[in-house]
Amino acid sequence: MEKNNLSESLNKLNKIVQWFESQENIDIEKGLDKVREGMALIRSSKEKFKKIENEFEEIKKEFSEIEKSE
Amino acid sequence: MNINILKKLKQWRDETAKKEGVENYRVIPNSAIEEIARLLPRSKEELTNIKGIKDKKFYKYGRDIFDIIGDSKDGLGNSRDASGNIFSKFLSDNSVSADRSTTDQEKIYSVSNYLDFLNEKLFMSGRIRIRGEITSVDIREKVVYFSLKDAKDESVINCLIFKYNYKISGISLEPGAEVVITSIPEIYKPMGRLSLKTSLIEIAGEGTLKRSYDELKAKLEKEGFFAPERKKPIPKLPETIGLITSNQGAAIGDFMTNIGNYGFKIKFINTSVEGKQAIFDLLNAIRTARKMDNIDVLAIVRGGGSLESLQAFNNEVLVRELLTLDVPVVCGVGHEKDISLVSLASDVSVSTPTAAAFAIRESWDDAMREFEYAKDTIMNSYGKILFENKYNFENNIRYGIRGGLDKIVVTFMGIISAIRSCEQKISSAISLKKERMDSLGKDIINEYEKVLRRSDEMIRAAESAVASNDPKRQLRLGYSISYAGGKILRSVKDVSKNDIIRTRLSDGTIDSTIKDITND
Repeated sequence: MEKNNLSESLNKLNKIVQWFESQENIDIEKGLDKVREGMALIRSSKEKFKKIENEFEEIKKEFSEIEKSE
Repeated sequence: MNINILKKLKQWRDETAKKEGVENYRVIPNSAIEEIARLLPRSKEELTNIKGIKDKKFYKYGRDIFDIIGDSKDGLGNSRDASGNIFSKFLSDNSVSADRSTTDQEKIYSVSNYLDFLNEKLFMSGRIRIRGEITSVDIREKVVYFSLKDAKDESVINCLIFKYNYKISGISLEPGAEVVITSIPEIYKPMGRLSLKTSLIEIAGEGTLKRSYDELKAKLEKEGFFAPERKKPIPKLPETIGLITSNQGAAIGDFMTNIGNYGFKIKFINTSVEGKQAIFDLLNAIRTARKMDNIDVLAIVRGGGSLESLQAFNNEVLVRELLTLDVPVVCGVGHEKDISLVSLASDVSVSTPTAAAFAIRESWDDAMREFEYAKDTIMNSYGKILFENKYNFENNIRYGIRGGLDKIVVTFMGIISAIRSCEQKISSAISLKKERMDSLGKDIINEYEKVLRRSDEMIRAAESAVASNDPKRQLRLGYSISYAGGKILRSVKDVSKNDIIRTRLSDGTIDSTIKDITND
């Protein structure tokens, strides 16, 4: 889920970047909309990372799993 | 029933069955395990009285069973003597089949009884490790017989190892090889011959070890195990990481410190990575990892070591086991000179736990860089647009186009208020989550501030330009501006004969029809 969100954000951002790079004369207001959109994407994605902590879990080796299934 | 011991017995039994490649009940059936946990047998007699455990099983597993019962605090811990051997007590008063009516001096054994007596003594003395040189090897269907010769004199001892243990040891026994064996001594009754029942053979001596490593490497290479075309790539943006290493030592710390905080789910499988248990542990760890279908990438890491200390990682059975995994494996096992065979068979091989962590997080780092790149590109592009528009704006002012000026000023004011409200939103977001804001958050604010400052400068420049270039002044001086179709006329090419144009003067406008056009 997170991965998809991130990939999606990156795709959208790349499109915005391309839009800026491909246009000769950019409309200031349209440009501002794109800037806003881009910054919102960057900010929300980055904030997500600040909130997510790594999880650590020890997995018992196989034989104990077998024991459970008995 | 002692539940703790029951659990331990079952765990040991399942492990042993796995090792021997047989069904659990073939080692010790559940009913017998429960009986052991209930009765907590202290002697051979008590143990073999339990249904399902005969002499054969007693000699094969008795030692392990007594160990489990004895290890347990609420088991027989209190019967340990000063030497810590819980068996010596009943060995002294519970000799096999000894006639209790006769005194020790008068006791007469049958040959068989005496050998049983000796075997029990030997058995109870525990596992031993012996170093020596292989002299003869005889490989049978289920057992491998070999002899071990002392390195200095001509002393020889006979040994045997069961095929499954031989296979796991991952060594092809050859005369002359120097090895360390882990065994329990036993006299083979029909021959009256002492033999070491061996559970593990390890190669000793760097020379032999190196040769064995080279041979196995060549063999596995020939089978295509290390071929680049069978290497799987690490998936982009992995989330769940399987981690196989020891919870002792620096490797796990190095890995965890360097993996970064991308919200990884790390599933850790603890294993020894050195010593006689390592190979069994590692095999179990990989089998455990294979059962976990939700991991994106598996990391196997340990610190560097000599060829000898890395023996478990150069084991054929382990390498073959590794190749059955569907999940990509990143191996960060240090090495001195010869890279471990597990490393070679892994999909990605690096030489430290730290490097393994970086290999896994790489696509996340790339994604973050893409964000930075996007941020910079967008901000720069937009800054450039504003900058260019400033010139257009000033030019327009210079030509004194009041209507155009108004439009541009309105546009700019719109932009500036938009930027300001944008900034305000961000500022309030910051004050809400101030403690959460990282440097990137500040970066964005800085970028906005830059754009904002640039816009303010432009507005001020525009205002002063307006003041010093009052268009009406130009008109009063006799300059005028003509429009056609609402656009300012800048070139004769903008109009055709008979078009109507409007000209603005200081005090009014004139509409005219084009009669003739002449190029300069």
